[in-house]
Amino acid sequence: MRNKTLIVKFLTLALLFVALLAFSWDRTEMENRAFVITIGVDKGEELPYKVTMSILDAEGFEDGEDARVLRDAEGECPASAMGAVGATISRSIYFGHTKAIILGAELLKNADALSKTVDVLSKNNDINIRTVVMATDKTAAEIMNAKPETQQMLGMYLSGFYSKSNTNTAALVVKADLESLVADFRLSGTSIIPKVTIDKDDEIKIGGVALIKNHALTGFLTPDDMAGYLWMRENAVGLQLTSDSATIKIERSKPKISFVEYSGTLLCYAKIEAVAGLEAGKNNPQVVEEFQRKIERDITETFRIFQEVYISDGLELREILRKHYPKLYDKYGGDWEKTFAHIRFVTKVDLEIRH
Amino acid sequence: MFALNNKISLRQVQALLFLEIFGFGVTALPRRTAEHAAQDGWIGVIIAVVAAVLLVILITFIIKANIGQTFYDYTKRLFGRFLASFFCLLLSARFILLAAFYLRLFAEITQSIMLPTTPYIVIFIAVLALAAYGASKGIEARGRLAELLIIIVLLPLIFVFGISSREIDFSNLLPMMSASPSQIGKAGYYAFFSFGGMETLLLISPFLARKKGVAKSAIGTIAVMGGFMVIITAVTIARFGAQNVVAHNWPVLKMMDTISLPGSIIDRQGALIMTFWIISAYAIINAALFFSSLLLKDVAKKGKHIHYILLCVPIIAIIANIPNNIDQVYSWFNLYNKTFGITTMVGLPVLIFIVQLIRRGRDRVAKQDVNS
Repeated sequence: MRNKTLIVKFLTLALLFVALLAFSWDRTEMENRAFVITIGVDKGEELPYKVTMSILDAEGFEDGEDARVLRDAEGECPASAMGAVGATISRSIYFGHTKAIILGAELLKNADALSKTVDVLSKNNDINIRTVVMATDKTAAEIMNAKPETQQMLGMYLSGFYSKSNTNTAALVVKADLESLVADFRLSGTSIIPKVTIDKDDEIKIGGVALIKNHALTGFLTPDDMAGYLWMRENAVGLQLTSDSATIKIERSKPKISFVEYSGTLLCYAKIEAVAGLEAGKNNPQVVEEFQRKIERDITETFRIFQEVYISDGLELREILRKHYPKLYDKYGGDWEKTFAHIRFVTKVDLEIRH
Repeated sequence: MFALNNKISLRQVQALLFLEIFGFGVTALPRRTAEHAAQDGWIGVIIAVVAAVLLVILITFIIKANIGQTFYDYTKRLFGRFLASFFCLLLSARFILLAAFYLRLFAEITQSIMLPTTPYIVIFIAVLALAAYGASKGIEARGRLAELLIIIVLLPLIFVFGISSREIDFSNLLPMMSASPSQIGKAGYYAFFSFGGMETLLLISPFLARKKGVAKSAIGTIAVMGGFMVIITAVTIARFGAQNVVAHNWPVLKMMDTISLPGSIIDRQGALIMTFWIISAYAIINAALFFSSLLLKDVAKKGKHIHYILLCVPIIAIIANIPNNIDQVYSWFNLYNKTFGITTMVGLPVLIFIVQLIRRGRDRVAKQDVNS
C-alpha cells in the first residue's frame, strides 16, 4: 500500500516536471535565438530611427567564415526599429549577450532622439547596463560594416578593448557604458562618450570622445584634448609619457580636487600625486620637472577646452562641489553653466619616478 | 535523529525569522529610503532597525508571559473569545495580503528576468504549491529547511557585494546628513515596513523547544539582520548614487546583474539572482500560509491544518492577480502598509502588551490581597 502511494507520488511529480518543461511558455532552443552582439542606432532616412544589428552566426564561426550577419531597419522610435530588425530574421532576437552599442553622429546631435534611444536601451531588460556605449562621427552602420583584424565581432572587440584586464589600453581610453550614460543624462545631461571611427583603409580607430551637453552632441574632442581628463578622473594608470630624455609609465595616480571661494568666484585647485616607472632614459630632477610641467599643461589645456570652447562641465566638477563642499554648492551650484565659465583653475602635479 | 514533537530550536527560530524578513525586505529598501532621504537613506534604515528591535523586545515580552500558549489562547484570556477571534482573523488577513503582494512581486521579477511570456498564474501555482507543501509538513520541517536555505540566500549576496565592492564610490554618500530630520524620519518609517513578517513571533510560542533565551535570540537576529540591511542600503546607494537608485525598481537585484564574474564563464547573472529570489519568495509565502492557516484553524476549531492551507492558496493567488501592473502593486502596498499593515504590525502587539501589563498589575494586586 505504502509502495503504491510512493509510486503514484513519483509519477505525479514526473508528469508535472515533463509538463512544465515541455509546455514552458519561454522555452527557447539555442538554434532559435539570434544573439545580437552589437547594436547601432542612427538617424533614419525615411523614418526617424535606423537600427543596425550585428548578429552572431554560429555556423559561420564553425566554418571559419564570416561569423556575423548584419541586419537593419527603420522605425518611428528606437524600439519599433529594433522590432522591425527582428522581423527580418527567422530567429528570436536576444540582447542578453550584447557587448556594444554605437550611436551615429546625426542621432547624437538630436537631444530628443538621443534621450529616447538611451531610454529605450536602458529599459530593455535583456540588455546589460554595463554594455559599452560608443559614439561615432560617421554613421553606426558604417562602423559596423568594418571588421577588426583581431576579432570577427566588432562588439566583442570593443568590449575587450575596455576590459579591466586589458592593461595596454586601459589608460588610453575613456569608458562609457549604458549605466553611466543613463546616470549622466539623469543628473545633468552632460556626458562623455568614447569615439570610434574608421580610417581610409576601413580600419577601426578608437580615440577621442564625443562631448554631450544638454543631452546632445556639442563636439568631438581629440585624444590630445582629453589628455588632462585622465589625470583628473583617476584613470591615468598605464599611461606612457615620452620626452626627449626619458620614457615613463604611470603606475599610480591620485587626483585631489578642492574648491575655495576667491573674490566672489570659485577657485578650483587640482593636485595630482603620481608615481611612474622609468621605462627608458635617465631619472633626474630635471626629467621629473619636465614631466610634471607637461602633465600640468595637459590638464590646464583640457580644462580650458571644456571651459572656454564648450562651456561644458565634462570633468563633473559640479558633483565634486556638491559632495565635498555643500555650502559652496548651495551658493554657486544653481546656475552652474555661468559659475563654470568663471571658475579659476590651478593645478599642481607631484610626480615620483621610480627606477 | 529528528525529534518529531512539533518543536523548533532557537537557532531554527532565528533562521526562520531571517528568511521571512530579509529577502523581500532588502530588495527595494535602498530605493524606498533614497526616495525620501537621498544619500542619507541608510541613516533612515538605522532608525528603522532601532524601532524594529524595540518592537521585538515588546513581542518577546508577550511571548515570555504566555509561554507555550497559542496566539488565540492568550488573546482569549486577555480580551475574551470574540476579540481573540477577531485578532486572529486580522493577523491571518495580514499574512494572506503580505503573501499575495510578495507573490505578485516575485512573478513580476521572474517575468522581467527570466520568463517574459509565462503567465502570472503559472508562476503563482508553482510557488504556492511548493510553499503549501512546506507549510503542510509542519514547523519542524520548516525550521530544518530554513537552516539550510539561509546559507543559500546569504552566500550569493555576500559574493555579489564582495565582488561589486571594487566599483563602489563611497563619495556618493556625501554630503552626509544633508537631508532634514523629517526626511530621514520618513525614510526610517518606510524602511520599518521592510521588517514586515517579524510579527510571526507572536505565534511562535507553542513551538519553542526551549523556553529560555527566546528574547535574546530574536533581538540578536533582528539586530544582525538590521546591520546587514544598513550595509546593503549604504553600499547600493554608494554604488549607483542616490538619484540612480531611485530609478531602479529593485536596486539590489540590479547590483547583482552588474557584476562581471571572474573568468567570464557566466555572462549573465540571472540564475544567481533567481536563487536568492526563489528562496526568499518560498520562505515568506510558506510562513504566511503556515501561520494564517494556523490562526484560521484556531478560530474555527474544526478540520486539519492542511485544509486551511488549501483554503488560503486560491485566496492568495486571486489577490495577487488583481493589480494591473507593478506600479499599482507598489501603490496598493504602500496604502496597505500605512493603514492595515501598521495596525497589525505595531498596533496589535502594542495593544496586547498594554493589556498584558495591566492584567499583570491586577494579578499582583489580587495576589497581595489574598496574602494579606
